[in-house]
Amino acid sequence: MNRQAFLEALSSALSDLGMDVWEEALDYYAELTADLIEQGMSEQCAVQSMGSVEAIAANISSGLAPQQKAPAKPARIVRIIARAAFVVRIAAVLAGAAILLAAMWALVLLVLAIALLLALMLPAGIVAAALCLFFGAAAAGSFLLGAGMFLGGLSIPVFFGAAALLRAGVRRSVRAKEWFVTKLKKGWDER
Amino acid sequence: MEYKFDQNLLEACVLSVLSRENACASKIMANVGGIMCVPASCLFVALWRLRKKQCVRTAEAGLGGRSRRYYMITDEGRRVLLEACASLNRAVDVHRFLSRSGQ
Repeated sequence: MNRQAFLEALSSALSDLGMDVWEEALDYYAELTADLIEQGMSEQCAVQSMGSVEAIAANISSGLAPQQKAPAKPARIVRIIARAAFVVRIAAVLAGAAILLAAMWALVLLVLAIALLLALMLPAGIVAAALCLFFGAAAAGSFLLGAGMFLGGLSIPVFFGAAALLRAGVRRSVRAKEWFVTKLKKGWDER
Repeated sequence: MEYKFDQNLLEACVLSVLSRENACASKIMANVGGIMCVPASCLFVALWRLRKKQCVRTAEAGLGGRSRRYYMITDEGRRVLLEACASLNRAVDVHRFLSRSGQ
């Protein structure tokens, strides 16, 4: 088994755990195997040294809180009801995720808009200063030029802040999607 | 028969490694592996529990072109480590007492 296949199998085996444990465990094993490969071990040996996916999943589930363990498989008779409830639950989770995503994107757009507005202050300050100089108000012109430069400069850290926010948001969204799809597949199969 | 180390002892060993220097998972694994044979999954559980108990905190740092997660001991972690050392000292006294009785 290569590293990618190992991580995919692990992702599925750990999907019964909460998203935070799932995410951290995958990061942990990705880092550990990458370190071993970097130290000169072959990809297959690195994966083998981690133990079987089943043993890892069993160790982690038994080591963590009992409420995070997988629920028992329901009887066949109640499967239809369980699946209907599952669909409702999934719909609720999707609605919540959509609201969170919308809020995140609104925040990113707001910060980007502020950065753009601040950047526009620089040419606006130059134009205003030129007009003031033309009409003989040198002091006001200097002030407007200084203010324009200050606000224009301020746009740079705000822009980088928005970019960092965007990167973090995209990373979390991709991880949440992976976790959700894995959980959805497994949850449906169990019902 | 190999002695089965319990979770608290493993957590104390992890704290001991981190009290000397901040380390990434593979380094902790290598250090702890010097005194006991622990699967990576048990180490993950120990690190997870230590984080939940706020004995350890983490930070991401880029090294060699990729990001690594570094673990650092907190003040609470140092306190827990001291407590573990005190308990083990008591255990050593009991062991000496038992050894004398056995002779």
